[in-house]
Amino acid sequence: MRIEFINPFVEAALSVLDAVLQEPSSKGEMTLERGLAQRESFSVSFGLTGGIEGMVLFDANERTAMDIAGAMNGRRFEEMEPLVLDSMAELMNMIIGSSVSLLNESGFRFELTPPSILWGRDMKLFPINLETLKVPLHSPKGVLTISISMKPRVG
Amino acid sequence: MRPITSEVDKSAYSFLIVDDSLFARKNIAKAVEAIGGNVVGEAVNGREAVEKYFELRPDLVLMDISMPEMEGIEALGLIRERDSSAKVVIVSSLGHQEMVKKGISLGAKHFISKPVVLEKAADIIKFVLAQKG
Amino acid sequence: MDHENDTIMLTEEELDALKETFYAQALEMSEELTAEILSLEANDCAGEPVKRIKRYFHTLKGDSSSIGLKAISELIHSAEDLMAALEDRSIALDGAVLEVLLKSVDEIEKAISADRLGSKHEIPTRLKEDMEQLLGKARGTPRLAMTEYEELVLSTSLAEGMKIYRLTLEFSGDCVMKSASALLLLQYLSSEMEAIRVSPSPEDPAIESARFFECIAASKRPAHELKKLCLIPGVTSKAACEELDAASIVASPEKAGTETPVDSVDRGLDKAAPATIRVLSERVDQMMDLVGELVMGRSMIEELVGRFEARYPKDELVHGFVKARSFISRSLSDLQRSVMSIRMIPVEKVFRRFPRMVRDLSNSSGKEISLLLKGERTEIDKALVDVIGEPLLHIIRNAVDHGMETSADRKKAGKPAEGTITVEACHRDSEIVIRVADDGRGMDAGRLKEKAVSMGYVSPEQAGAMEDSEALRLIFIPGFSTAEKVSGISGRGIGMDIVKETVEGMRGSVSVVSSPGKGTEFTLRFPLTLSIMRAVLVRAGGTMYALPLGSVADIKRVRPHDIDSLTGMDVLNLKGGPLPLTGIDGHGAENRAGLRRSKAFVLTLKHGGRKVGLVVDSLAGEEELVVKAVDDAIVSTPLVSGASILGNGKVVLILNIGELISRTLTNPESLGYRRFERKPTGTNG
Repeated sequence: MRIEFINPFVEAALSVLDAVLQEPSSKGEMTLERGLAQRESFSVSFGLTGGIEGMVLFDANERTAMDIAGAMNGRRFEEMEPLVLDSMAELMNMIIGSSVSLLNESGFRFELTPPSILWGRDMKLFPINLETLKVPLHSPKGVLTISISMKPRVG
Repeated sequence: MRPITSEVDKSAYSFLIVDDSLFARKNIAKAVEAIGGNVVGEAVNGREAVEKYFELRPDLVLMDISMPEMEGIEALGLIRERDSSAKVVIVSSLGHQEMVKKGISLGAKHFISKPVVLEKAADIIKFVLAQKG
Repeated sequence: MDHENDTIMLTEEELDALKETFYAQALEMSEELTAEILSLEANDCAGEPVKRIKRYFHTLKGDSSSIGLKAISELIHSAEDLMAALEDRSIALDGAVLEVLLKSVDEIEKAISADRLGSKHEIPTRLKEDMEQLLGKARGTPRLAMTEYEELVLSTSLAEGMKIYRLTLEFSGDCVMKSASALLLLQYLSSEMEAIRVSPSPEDPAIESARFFECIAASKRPAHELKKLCLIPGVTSKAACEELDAASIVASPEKAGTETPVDSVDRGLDKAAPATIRVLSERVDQMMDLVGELVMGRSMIEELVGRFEARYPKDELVHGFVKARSFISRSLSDLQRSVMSIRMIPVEKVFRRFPRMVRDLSNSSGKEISLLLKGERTEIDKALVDVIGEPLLHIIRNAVDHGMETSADRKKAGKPAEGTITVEACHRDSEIVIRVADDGRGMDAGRLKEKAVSMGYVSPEQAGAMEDSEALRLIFIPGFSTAEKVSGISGRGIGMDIVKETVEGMRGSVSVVSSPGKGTEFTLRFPLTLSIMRAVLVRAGGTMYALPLGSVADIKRVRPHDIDSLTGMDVLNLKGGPLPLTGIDGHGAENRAGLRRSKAFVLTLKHGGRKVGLVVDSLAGEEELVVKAVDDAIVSTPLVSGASILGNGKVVLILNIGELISRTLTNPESLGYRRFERKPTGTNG
């Protein structure tokens, strides 16, 4: 996996988080893993096809998801109600949209599938034959992790 | 017909907000409120947007691009085809630039990028409302 | 202090000796100069080559003035100014600049040669004028070199009383999606001004990182109003609007006036000043599309009237319908022709690139070649103009490089020292024919066969059975002409497969005839119009396909016993020899079984002198089709060249005959029935 694929996602995520939370977030240490992509109980995933194939997944624990959504909507959530899911999906849409724009500027061409929300405990998600790079983003509302599993398409 | 003035008559303008995300609808509504406009309708996909447009005849439509059932650009085309004076502003995350350009060539009056920056969105809305026709 | 004082000091002999040295050096330098100037084309115009050119010019200027060639030193002086303008980018390197530079070098050479022989050479005033015009442009409009089209728009706008402005717009700091922003801006301004040139273009990816956006535009509005209109929130934060001096931009309006992409239909009305209007090409395309839709509508009506007629053969109303149908049909044909004629542009626009190229090539290869252009006024579809330049250049380049002998060789062969390449365009029937002929050494079919055998394209037996005309077609096999420079008598250089592909992409064909020692002739044929064609409709495997009528030579009904099998490949035995058979759809095997069982139709398809038989289940008639480009995502096979909608509303795919035949004939191991290949998305191929 090439690092230049990752940076646009991190950069976009940080700038969108800044904009919606009105407070800066920061990037944690990157790790490379084989296998497990998801750790926390709430995640939003996007498939990538075209010039790059794979998956981008954002995950956070429920409390963080509720707090981020809370900041976006100006209220506090105590349950994973529909507006939390909706707000998180929209947040991820914005992040992904910006990343695509940055990646396109660097000459990568690919398409995105619409987002899927995966929510629940004790799930495991394994991208097959792909390494997963994880970047935790430390936001004022908790940790949001980006996991990117992808490879440039060959031939 | 409402008289056309160069200054935006704040109380008078009506808006249709189209987005499949509730958060996004509420968020852009803040920009509408900031200039004192009224949100007279909301739609969650392009098909509904077209129906509501012709039912409500709002002064301005704020249209998301990526939606289920019918995408925003198609709805924009259908609206502009039947009402060439319709004012539609696209609301889109970055990365949909080609779609935005298509929207502009179909007659979209401007675009607002997500995440929405309130003041900028308000400026754009005011600008579009002040345009003739 | 000036050079004439120096020369007075010299004796006659000294002067002669000096002159002789100068002649030799100058001619050498002018050769170097030509090469350097030509290298500018590729290397942009910054850096070493420009410096070297300037140095050569400078030396030549000094020397020529020292021996009294004043005209030359003046010309070089201007050329130096032109180089300086190129260097500081107040003028862009384009065809006109190159032309003037190359011509200057030519004139320098001629003048020197003349002086050496004791005669005088006059520098053509035309060259001086061209040079002055370019320099005027460079001085008057820094960073503004216009293409001919832009100049035309400009001069037309000026004639309409508009002013020319340079708008410099700064993207606002929060501007995202600059390409879309620029598009939006131009859309807002479109009713107020005519944008002549924008930079960077909204389609240029570089725009995303640009801070400024520049636009040369014509408008009736005063500058301050235009400037205000340019300020759009979220897009622009600052705007500057500067009126440009029109005279310095368009040097000679009458020159610009002759370059009209669209002539009015009644060109004959006023000979002194043909009434022309400038039209955006999209509008013409749109009209063409609409005419296409109408043609489709006519097909629908024709079908309905036909059925009506069959149902009520005696009804008088039917008679009326038939009459009305013919009337519409006739008017529509006229309309179609009129709209088509708008799209037609003289082929001269393509041809005019050739003389310089041939001159340059013949200079560099040391061959004497003259270029004869014929039929430059022949009008061809605009879409063709954009595409055929490259393949023609390719063919001409090959003719110069490989087809032509050196002057010495030509004399030995009893030919005139100067070779001739003829490029000719004409209309024949419903086709546009472009011929490129040379009187060079010709191609040797035997050599081509040998090479094809050695490269494994054909077996020695196949080669033996191959007629010379077939052997010549070998040059179109991908990789054949590029594999190695086939020097000597058979050489034909690079990429003929690309030429063929490009030509066939425009639904054209390319053929070649050659006779050793006498020359080679390439013929390119294109349909007169690219968007409407008469087609034969056939059904195979339950699907309808369309074939261009012109490529169907013959239709036969065949029975199982008519079919023979040769090394696993089905052929139809005809008097002239076996006709290889091929299928079109994805049901090759069933089709073949069906053919064995009952009867089918075989259409003899011809393209560029080759033939194959296409097996189909049934014929479905003949129709005039409006060709639409096919979305690659739906059908991505080169076997399909387009799609159309029939009178009954059904979609039909148009087969690419050239490709079908090539596939059948050039892949010996996969002859016979072929399946359509669906290209998996994202892969190469």
